[in-house]
Amino acid sequence: MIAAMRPPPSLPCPTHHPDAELLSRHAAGTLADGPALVVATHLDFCPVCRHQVRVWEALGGALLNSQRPVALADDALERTLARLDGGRLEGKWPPADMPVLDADPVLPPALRRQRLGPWRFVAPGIRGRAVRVDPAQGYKVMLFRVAAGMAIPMHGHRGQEYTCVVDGAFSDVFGRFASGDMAAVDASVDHQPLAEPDGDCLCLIAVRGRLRIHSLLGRLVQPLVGL
Amino acid sequence: MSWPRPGDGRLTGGGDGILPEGRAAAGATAGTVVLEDVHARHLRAIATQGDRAAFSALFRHYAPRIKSYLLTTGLPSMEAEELAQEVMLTVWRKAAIFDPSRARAATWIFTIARNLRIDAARRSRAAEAAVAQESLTPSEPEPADDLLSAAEAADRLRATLDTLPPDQLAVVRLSFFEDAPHPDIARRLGIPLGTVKSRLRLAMARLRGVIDPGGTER
Repeated sequence: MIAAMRPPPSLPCPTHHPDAELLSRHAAGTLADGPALVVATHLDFCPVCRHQVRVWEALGGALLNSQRPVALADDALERTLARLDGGRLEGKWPPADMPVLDADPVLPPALRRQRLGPWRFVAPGIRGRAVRVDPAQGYKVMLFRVAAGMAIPMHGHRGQEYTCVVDGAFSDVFGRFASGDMAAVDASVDHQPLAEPDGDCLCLIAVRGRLRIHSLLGRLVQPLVGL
Repeated sequence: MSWPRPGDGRLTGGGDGILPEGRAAAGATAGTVVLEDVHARHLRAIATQGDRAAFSALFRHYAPRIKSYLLTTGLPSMEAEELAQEVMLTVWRKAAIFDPSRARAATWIFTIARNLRIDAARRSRAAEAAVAQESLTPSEPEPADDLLSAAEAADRLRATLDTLPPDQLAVVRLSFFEDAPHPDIARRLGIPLGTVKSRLRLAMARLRGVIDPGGTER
């Protein structure tokens, strides 16, 4: 089955994937916004995982069909019928209510649909854009651009941390992570990813709580940039 | 590397999960397939003719199940009622997007319910209207090979679900729909924690065998 799948032309096929639990929770809609966005970013790159998510969604459909029906109010159908306006989509695409997309063409669709803050200085060699997600869920999401050869600010974190490379690559003890590759690590992992020497690495990171930055200078500016 | 531009066909997604399960029926029970075909025809009638009778038929089948699903996820009864109607309204509005060669009706409707539930949860947390529901939807049209294998997997999955003992199904339902921690499931079903774990392990072993038969290295 897997062998039959091809990546779309011109896109790299990732080699590091979210596990089955993350994919099933994404399909079920039970992930918090931060991790869901990182997984959605990976899915833009990864036909294999898109396929898996669809099958998990099919499980959702099958479970919905076998759900024990719970009666609605007696007039629910009438009330809903009364609300049916002429507002059907007549096969038009895209729909008129498409969100405004971010202008950066290197971003995959999942990210371009988000509300992104401006690029800001984080530490020498590191710039970051905040991705707005519901703060009530406790996740911070940042898009980092890390200069070639620099350490990526992701270690010593508390709680789960989710990363997806958007452009460029980094390496750490787990291997090489290039476009579309995703990592989910917990607080017990103290790794030191380094952007590869031949270009900037653009990566999306969702962390619970505060992100800790490697460098002394990074730690000094951390309170200033609100990470 | 170049990403598809907005407006290029379906590449940027429509907010409600276009799912290539296809129409292949291998392994599904005859009843399931007939039901699916009827539902897909209803959706088509809504899309092409604004057929209110077709909508009413879909409403009678799905609205009580959607409400039940929303209750399972922990929504209060009044909100589940309102949101179930909202989901059906969205089904009406977006019926033209439904593509039976890509998605089963039940799965398509599930993804609409799921997305609206996420949006409602966001609103109720009084957050800024942040990430759109689109963040969840896969975006690319799939190669034909994928459509076929997804269709087969979806049908086998449905058939497998039919054969699960009810007690295993109940655990799968709470675990998948609600992401409920195992102790919660145990409390709600009134069974020991160990039983939850063993039922879930048994059920998921069978479902995983369908979802990921090669056991790909993950």
